[in-house]
Amino acid sequence: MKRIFLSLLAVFGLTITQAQEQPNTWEKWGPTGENGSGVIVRAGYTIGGTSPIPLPNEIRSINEFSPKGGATVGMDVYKMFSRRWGVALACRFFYEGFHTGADVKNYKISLTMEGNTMAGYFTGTNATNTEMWGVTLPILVTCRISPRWNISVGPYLSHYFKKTFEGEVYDNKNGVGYLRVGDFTGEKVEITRQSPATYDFKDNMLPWNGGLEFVFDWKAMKHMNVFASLDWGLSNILEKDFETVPFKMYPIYATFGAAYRY
Amino acid sequence: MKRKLINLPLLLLTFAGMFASCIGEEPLNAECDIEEVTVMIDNPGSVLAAGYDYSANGRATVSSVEDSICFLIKWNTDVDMLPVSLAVTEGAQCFILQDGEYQPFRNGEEVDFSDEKVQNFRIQSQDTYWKRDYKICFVHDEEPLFQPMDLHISFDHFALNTSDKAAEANKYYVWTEPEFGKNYAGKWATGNPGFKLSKSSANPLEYPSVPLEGEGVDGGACLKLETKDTGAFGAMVRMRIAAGSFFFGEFDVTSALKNALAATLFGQPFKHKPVKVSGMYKWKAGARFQDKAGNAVDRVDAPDAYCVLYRNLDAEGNFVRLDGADVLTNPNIVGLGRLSGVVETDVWTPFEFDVVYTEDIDNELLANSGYSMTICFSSSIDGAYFKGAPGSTFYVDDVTLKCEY
Repeated sequence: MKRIFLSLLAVFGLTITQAQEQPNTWEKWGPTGENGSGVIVRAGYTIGGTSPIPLPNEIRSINEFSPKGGATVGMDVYKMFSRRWGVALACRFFYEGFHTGADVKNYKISLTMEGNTMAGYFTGTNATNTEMWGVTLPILVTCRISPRWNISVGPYLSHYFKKTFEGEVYDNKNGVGYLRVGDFTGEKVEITRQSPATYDFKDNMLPWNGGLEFVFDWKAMKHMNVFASLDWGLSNILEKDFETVPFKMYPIYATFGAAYRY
Repeated sequence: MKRKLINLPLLLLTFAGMFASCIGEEPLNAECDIEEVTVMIDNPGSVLAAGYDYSANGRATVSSVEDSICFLIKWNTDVDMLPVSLAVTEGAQCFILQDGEYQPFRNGEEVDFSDEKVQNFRIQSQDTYWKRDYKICFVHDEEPLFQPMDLHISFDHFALNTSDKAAEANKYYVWTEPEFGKNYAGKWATGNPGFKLSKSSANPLEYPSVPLEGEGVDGGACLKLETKDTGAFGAMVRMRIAAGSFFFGEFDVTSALKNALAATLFGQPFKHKPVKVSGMYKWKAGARFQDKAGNAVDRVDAPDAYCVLYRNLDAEGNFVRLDGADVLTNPNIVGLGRLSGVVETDVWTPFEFDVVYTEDIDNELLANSGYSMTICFSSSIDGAYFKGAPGSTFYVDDVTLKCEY
């Protein structure tokens, strides 16, 4: 976490130092609408993942990571109250997802289906696929740190229309893949890639997620921005009493794209 | 102006940096298993009976469910102090019970196994939170008698298993057959431990292999084998049914999901020559025969029963154990008999089949436990391949294994 904040600070600091501009450019790159208001239409490529933060010690290595999709289209309605400060309300439709393969050790699982529970500790490879279609509604405070740079931060709420969270567990590249049933002294049941155990937790995903959104806009042309945004989920995507995944899982997705400013 | 463009790649890099999460410290091992026991014996071949790989000392591989390791020694030999080495989970500590207290145990220490003494060991995990207790002993093999005899399988001696920690209401039944001698009476297995993985909520009488008290031919208990649907968990690992089974051997739950055929370990060393199996049965085929994928197939289910005698050492002297893949086909098989002509019936009906030999029995080998025997009953003939009809029910009672000697 500390590293992340430092990275953010570094970006922030760098951009501030470059904000030594001639006064007239503030007007040149200012809001296009009257009263400092306007609309931004955005489209971008979305990449990221859903992860426990920080990574628990049970996760020993991440061997595969590939994003699926993703895309975001949306619209911001903003109003600048002063030269530097303003607010924005936005609505973004997104499709995001990822595939990951991680080596785990002593990973606690408790899976219940049709009233039967398989619980214990798994060591081996856990491959996960997630996909989410939904809409995000952020409320942003915008700081115009230079004529051409805007940084916006604010809370968001996401709603998922369609979601998947499924995967397989099997042996790792050293051939180790097993479940200790119940606890560490229980039966050792080996699980291999040829005969993996599959899971599907989509019904245990919550339809809502909240977090913080960061948007970095750079005005490339009079009406065109390039932007990077980050949606940092702060609420668990899985049901609170869902014991199968013993960690809280947070969606963290970044979008890189272009925007049109009306 | 140009300088500012640097910012976008920098931003991208920053995001990438954020996702490169740190991997935490590796947790200490929590398991505390004995994986292998090695006893140093000067001339293992003349001391140990078959059953263990004694080509290199006396060595026993210990499965995750075993907590009692009994080496069999020939009926006419004895052991005394023997150096013992334990292969345990990495980082685990070993203790031996001495004078009522667990003392640290170092590999290679001599342990007193005279007079069939049972030695207690305790293994503590590297993280110190978990422990398991084990017993290690040396017991005498039975002396071969070379007399005609009938061994009865009565299905009257059963109990809930004690090896797992499930609540009483969710345990499964295990059987002993006293006529098979003190070392092998309890060596009867079923597929129940595998079923338990899929249906943890099942009560003891909902398992595929159960005793039915008062329903037997003689008014005692009989064995009821029923092919069961394994529900959502079974489908998850593409093992949609579990046939009821009962056999002389072991069920290795470690392999149950990985390779189910390898989980049924058939046979125990046997010092008799079985020639005929007879008993009583009732049979009802389930309504819907399904293939491995769960699709209905136009086929009527059938039960299975067989008796196999095989040489349990290969040319290099390694212990051979048949499993679901080769129990009827392994070239080490010397005698085989299989049930046929079963009809659907709800009254007790006699059955019998002969064990047919393809080679002569080597009596010296037999006396030294060089042959293993299995006898197996199943409620679905292709149950090992997860093909069968849920509801197929095979009742068995009063089985006699007639031995020429």
